[in-house]
Amino acid sequence: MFESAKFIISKLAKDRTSLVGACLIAGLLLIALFAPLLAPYPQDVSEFHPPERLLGPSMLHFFGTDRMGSDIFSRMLFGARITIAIAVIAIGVSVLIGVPIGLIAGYNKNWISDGLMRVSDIFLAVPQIILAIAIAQTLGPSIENVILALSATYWPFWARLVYAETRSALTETYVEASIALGASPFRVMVFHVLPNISSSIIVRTTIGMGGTILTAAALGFLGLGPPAPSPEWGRTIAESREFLPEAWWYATAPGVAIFLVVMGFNLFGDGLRDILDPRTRRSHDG
Amino acid sequence: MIITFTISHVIPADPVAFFAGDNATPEQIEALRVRYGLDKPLHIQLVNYLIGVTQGDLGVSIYTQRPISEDLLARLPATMELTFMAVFFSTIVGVPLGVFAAIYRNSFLDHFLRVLTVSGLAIASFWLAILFQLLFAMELQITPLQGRIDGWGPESITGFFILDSLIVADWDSLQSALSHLVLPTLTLAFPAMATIVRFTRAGVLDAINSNYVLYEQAMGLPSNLIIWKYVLRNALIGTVTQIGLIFGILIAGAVVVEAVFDWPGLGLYAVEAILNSDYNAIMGFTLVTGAFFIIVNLVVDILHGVIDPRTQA
Amino acid sequence: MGDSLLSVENLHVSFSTENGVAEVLDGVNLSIQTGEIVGLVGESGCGKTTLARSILGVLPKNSAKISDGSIIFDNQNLLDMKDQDIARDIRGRLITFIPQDPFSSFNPVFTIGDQIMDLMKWKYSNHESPWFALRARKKERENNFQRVLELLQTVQLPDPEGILRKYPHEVSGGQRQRIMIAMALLPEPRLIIADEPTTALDVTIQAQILKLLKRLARERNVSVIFTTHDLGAAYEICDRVTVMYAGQEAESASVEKFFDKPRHPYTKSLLESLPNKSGGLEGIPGQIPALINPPSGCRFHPRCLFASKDCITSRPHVSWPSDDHMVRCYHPKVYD
Repeated sequence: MFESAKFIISKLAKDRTSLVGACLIAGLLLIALFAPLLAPYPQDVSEFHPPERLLGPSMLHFFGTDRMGSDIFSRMLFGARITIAIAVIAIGVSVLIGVPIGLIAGYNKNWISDGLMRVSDIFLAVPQIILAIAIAQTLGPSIENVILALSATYWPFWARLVYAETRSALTETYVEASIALGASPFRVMVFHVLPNISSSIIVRTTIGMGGTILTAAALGFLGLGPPAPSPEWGRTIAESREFLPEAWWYATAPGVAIFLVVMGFNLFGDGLRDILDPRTRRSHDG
Repeated sequence: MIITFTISHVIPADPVAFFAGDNATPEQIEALRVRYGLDKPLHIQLVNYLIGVTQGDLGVSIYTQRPISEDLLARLPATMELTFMAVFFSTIVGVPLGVFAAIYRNSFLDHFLRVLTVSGLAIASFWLAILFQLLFAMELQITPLQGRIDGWGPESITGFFILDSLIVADWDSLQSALSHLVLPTLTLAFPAMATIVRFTRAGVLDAINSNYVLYEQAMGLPSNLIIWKYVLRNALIGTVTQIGLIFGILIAGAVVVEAVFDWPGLGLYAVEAILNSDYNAIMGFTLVTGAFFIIVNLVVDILHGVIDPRTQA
Repeated sequence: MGDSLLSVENLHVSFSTENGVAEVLDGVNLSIQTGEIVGLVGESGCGKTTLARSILGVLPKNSAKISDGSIIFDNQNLLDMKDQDIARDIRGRLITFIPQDPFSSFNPVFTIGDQIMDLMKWKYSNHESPWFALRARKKERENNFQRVLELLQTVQLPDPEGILRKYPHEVSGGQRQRIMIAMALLPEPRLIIADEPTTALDVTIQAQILKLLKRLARERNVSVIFTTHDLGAAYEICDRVTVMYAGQEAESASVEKFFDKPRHPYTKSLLESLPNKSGGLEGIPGQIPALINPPSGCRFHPRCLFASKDCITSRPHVSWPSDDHMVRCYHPKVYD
C-alpha cells in the first residue's frame, strides 16, 4: 500500500498542473486552519462598524470593507472554514452512505439492490442543485441544512459508482475464489472489492469537491446557506450586488476565492485521475 | 412512479414548514391550512397532490395565488429560449475548438484552451454573471443590465421573443431581445462550452489514433476529409451522450443566471419562491425541471442508439 | 538489379519513447520489381511493419524520425517529396494498403459503401467533369458505382450491393478482408503493401484470402509487399522473400532458394524451428533484443552460433553469393 502511495506522489510531483492544484488546496487548508491568526480583524466575523462601510481596498483593509463596515479580507479567511467544512462533511457523509449501499447492492442480486439502484437513478436523473434547493428551502437556511441537502443529493452518485464497480469486480477470479473458499459477504466486500475500487473513489472525491463547493456557494448565494452575519462566500457575493459597480471589491474577493479553491481541486483531481485511471491516459497531454 | 419517489422522499422530510407569514393570527393560519388542504393528515395530502399532478395540477402558489402549472408554463419560453441559445452557442464554438485542440495537441492553443476549460468549470456561474454585468453593462455599457427586453416585447405567438419578432417583423423588439440575450447566454454557455471542448477534444484524439484513420491516411484521403467527416462523426457520438450532462449544467446554471439577470424564466420563479417560502411552487418547479431533465436524458439515450450504428446490432 | 519499381536504400528509422530512442530500422534495403510478390518475413518487432509504413509515409509524426536513406519509387525519392503531394499522388493511387485488422480499419459509423465510394471519388481519377455538369457527374457516379460492384464480385463477395449498404460490424472478418483487397485494387495501383493481411483471420480463411490476393495481383501485374511472421504464408504466395531481424534485413532470395538453401544463420534457425515431420520443435535460444540499446554490429550476434568479433564490431554489408540471393552475414552458409 505504501509503495503505491509513494509511487503516486512521485508521479504527481512531476505534473505541474497537479502541483498547482495541490498548492491551492494546501493554501485553503492552511487558511481555514489559521484564520484567526491570519486575519487582521478576526472580530469582524460578527462585529460591525457602520462608519467604515464600503471602503475600497487599502493597506488597512486588503479587500476593502463590506456594507456593515467589516473587513472583507478577514471575513473571507473565515469563509474558507465554512467552505471546507461544508465540502468535506457533505462529501464525507455522502460517501459513507453511498459506498456501503453500492457495495451491498452490487453484491446482492435481489429486488433490494434493484430498488436501491432505482432510487439512486431517480436522484441522479435530476441536477443536484435543483433537489438541493428544494431540500434546503424546506429545512431553512443554515449550515447544517446545506450539508444535509448536499449529502442527500450526492450519495446516489457514489452508490451507483460503487455498484457498477462491485459488479465488475465480482467477475474477477480472485473474488470468485475467495467466495468459493467460504469468505463471508462482508469479508469479500470490505477486504477484496473495496481496496480495488478505492482509487476510483478517491479520484472522484477530489473531482467532486469542486462541484460541491460550487453548489454550496450557489445555495449560499440564493440565501439558503448559513444566514447573516456568516461570512460564507456565496452569501457575500449576493450581499454585494446592490452596491455594484462602485464597490467592485465586495463581489470580486469571494468570487476569486471560490474560483481558486475549485480550480485547486479540479487540477489536483485531474492529475490524480490521469495517474490512477489508466483508461483516461490516452487522451492526456504529453 | 419516478415522481412518486421524488416527492415521497422530500415531502415527509419537512414536518411543518408549510406556510409563510409569521404575523398571521391563529385563525388566519387555520384558514390557510384548510384552504390548502393542510389540515388533513399527511398521507392524504400526498395522495391528493399526486392525483393533482397526474391531472397536471401542481397546486396553487401560496404567493401568487395562481395555479403553479400556469405560472410555470408562462415562464417556460423564457428559459427555453435562453437554454437553447446557450446550447447552440456552446456547440457552434465548442466543437471546432475541441477539434483544433486535438489536432494541434500540445500547442499553445491546446494549452490555452485547457486553462480556459478548467477555469470554465471552476467559476461560479452567478459570479461570472455578476462580473459580466460589471464589465459589459455597467462599465462599458454595451449591453443591457438585466431583463429580457425593453418595453412589451413582440406580439406573443410562440412565446419566444426572437421567433415572434421575426414573424411579425418587429425589428426593435428583435434587437432588444438579442441584446438582452447576450450576457445571460454567454454566462450560461461558459461551463457548457468547457465540457464540450473537453469531450470533443478527447473524442477526436481517440479517433485520430485509431486504425481507421491510419487506413484513411495510408490510402491518401485528404486530411480535411478525414478530420471533418470521418473523425468528427466518431468523436461527436461521444459528445452527444454528454449532452445530458450539459443540460444538467445548463438547468442548474439557469436558476442562478436568471436570478442575476432578472430573466423571467423558471429559474427566477424558483428563486422568488425561495424568497417567499412558497413551498408548493418549489415543489412544482423541482418536479417540472426534474421531469424535463429525465426526458432529455431519455431522448439522448435514444438518439445515441440511433446515431451509432454499432448499437443496432 | 534492373529497374526496380521500388527501391529502399539504407533506411534508418528511429522512434523516441519514454525510455529512450529506439533504432527500429538500421539501414535497411529492399527492392521490388513490377509484378513481383515480395514477402517481408520476421518475428514481432523486427521492423517489418515500420518498413511498410515508412514506404507509405504514415509513421507517427511526433515520435518517428527517418534519419537517413532513400525510398525510390518509380525513379522518385519519396523522402524528398512533400507529404501533401505524396498523399495526393502516391497513396491510394500508385501505392495502396491492406491493413492487418480489417475490423478496426473500417470507420465504424459509416457504411462500407460510403467509405468505398469516397475512395473512388477521391482516388480514382475519373471525376474530371466540372461541378455544374450535373448529368456528366451523375454518369461518372454510376460508372464508379459499377466499377466498385465489379471489383467486389472479383473478390468473390456475394451480393455486392447488399454489402455496400452494410456497416463494418455487420460483415464477417473474411468478407471484410476481401473488401479491403478490392479497395486496394480500386485505384489500379502499381504496388500494394499488405501488412500481415491474414493474421487477424481464422486459419481456414487465411489460405483463401492469400490465394485470392496472389491471383489478382498476377492478373493485374501489381507488385505486392507482403509482411508476415508466418513462413508458411510466405511460401504460399511470394516470389521472393526477405527476412528481417531486429531492424536489420538479413537475407533476401527467391522463394525456392530461401526455403531450400537458406544462408543466414537466423534464416536457418527460423526454418528449423518450424514444426517438422519428425516431430521435433526447436526454438532459438535467447530473446529478441530491445531496440533502445540494441546489440552492436549484426544484431543477431548474441544468439548466433557462428558469431565472431567482426559480427560485433560492424554490420555485415550486402553480398550476393548468387544472383537473386542476397545475404548480410560474415558467416553465411555456403552451398556449391
